[in-house]
Amino acid sequence: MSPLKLALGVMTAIGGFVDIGNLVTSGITGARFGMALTWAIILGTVGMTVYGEMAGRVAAVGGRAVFHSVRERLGPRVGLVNLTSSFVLSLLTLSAEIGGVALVLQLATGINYLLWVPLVGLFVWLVIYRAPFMLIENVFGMMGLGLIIFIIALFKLPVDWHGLWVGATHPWVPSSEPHSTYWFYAVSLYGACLVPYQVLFFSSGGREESWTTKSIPQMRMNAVVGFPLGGLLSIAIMASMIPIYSSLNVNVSHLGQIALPVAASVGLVGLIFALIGFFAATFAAAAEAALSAGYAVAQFFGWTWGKMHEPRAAAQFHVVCLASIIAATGFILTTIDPITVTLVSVVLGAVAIPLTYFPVLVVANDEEYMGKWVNGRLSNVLGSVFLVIMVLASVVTLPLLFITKAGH
Amino acid sequence: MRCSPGQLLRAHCSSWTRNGNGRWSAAHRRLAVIAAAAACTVTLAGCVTPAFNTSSYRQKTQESASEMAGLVGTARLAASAYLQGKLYSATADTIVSDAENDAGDIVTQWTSVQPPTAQAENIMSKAQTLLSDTSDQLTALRIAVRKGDRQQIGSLLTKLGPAIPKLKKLAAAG
Repeated sequence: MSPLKLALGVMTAIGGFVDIGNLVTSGITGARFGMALTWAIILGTVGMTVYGEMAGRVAAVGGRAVFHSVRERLGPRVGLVNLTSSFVLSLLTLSAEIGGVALVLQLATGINYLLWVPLVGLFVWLVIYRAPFMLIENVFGMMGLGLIIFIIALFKLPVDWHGLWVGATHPWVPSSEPHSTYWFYAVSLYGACLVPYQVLFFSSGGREESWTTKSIPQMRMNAVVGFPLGGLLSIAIMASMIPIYSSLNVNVSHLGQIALPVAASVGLVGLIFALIGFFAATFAAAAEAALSAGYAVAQFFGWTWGKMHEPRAAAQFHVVCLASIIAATGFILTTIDPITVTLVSVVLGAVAIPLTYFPVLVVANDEEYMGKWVNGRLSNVLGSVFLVIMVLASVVTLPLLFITKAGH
Repeated sequence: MRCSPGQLLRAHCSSWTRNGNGRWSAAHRRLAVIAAAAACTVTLAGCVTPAFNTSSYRQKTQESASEMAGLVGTARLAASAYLQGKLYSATADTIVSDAENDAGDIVTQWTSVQPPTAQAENIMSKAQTLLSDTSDQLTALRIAVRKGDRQQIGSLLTKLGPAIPKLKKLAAAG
């Protein structure tokens, strides 16, 4: 495998890891809690890496994407519950991402985001319908690297590095915040890293690119190097909020506030990079969430799916993608705040995470499918530990959502 | 079949058990869905709850002042960055407009709370001018940024500067 291809895959994974959920939750928590919730990003990123690698291996060796496994292992009835929750979540995520792209365009042009929403929906559909899979994955993934500007901004801002380190290594609840709010945002950060559509897209993308066992080293590099570096970007976004907002007690609730520390420290060039990064991250995630909605339904019902087929040959798959985009666009046009939709989607995602990830763990342990690529001890220990954490998080998430009034 | 609220309530009172075949009736299920939806809406909307005593009113005032201080801080940062050529006018306009809208929401929500005691009325009279004036100044700042009137932006930044310590003081003392 050429080093260039390897680097491209890793960079795509870095850029593709961050979406509107990571941007919003990292921005809010950085301003409000400092670095006290860094551990939640690390936990979510490690979980995503473990399960992403597993799902990728199942796709490469067993030739099965996630929802094939779901139906096969959970049966049609329980699988349908799983499909419904996953589909609704993908729709919610898609809505949040479309709203996010529109907000970025408002920041760049000053034109109200609601006017951009239908155009964004149309553009997402056109890209899904016409653009090759590699273009969606690579071009937007690479553009998403514009978010590296947040790391550069950290070196230009008056950062108290020792304070950041102490904050990250002493994750206490700030005295000004209730414990319930702290835990709500911990779950939201963790949920933003582990959103089910990402693993669905990662494994289905493996089938789209016809992964075989020869692709496993590349896939592992993407998961083991790319995802953690993506998590590092989330941490950089969180850290860059602190020098600007912590002394002012600012409650970050808009995308513009998240870009402001970069503009204030690096200037216009920094702002341009940040906006390009925001656009690429949200647009790629919108396309991925729409595709994931189509993948989930088509894989569950056994329809022909994927962009490797002509749209005419996978008509049902494309109809589901189109219907999802129309529904998500309509939802954002109701004028519901996209940032609120984002928060709710990552938190509800945390509830549904075990439903998507458990079948992956089961199939990755099946020697019949996986042969010599069956889960090793390390994968199983990590997978089981994370499954327990996922179940615990999913149990406490809804009570936290109501107790804190969605983090207010 | 559609059920009126009365029918739903009667169904609720007469048979709060499963029916003969061990399933919840359709009316029960609808009632449960409506109740859950209502609970979710009220909870997630973050509706303003009334203040029943001075302490609760003071707390609401402190929270409003603290949030307002954060908004003024954000708007001042954006306007300063615009003056220094670090932000496009469209981006500065969006950030300041968001702060202005949020400030308007804070004032509307806070003034909608009825002061429950004479002491609470005192708190209200002290805080109202500061919160409303700050909100008005954010509106003036948004207008100046949209017009690109650098002189007016500079003057408003000077005016808004002392608002932050005053708001922080209010947030601390109530």
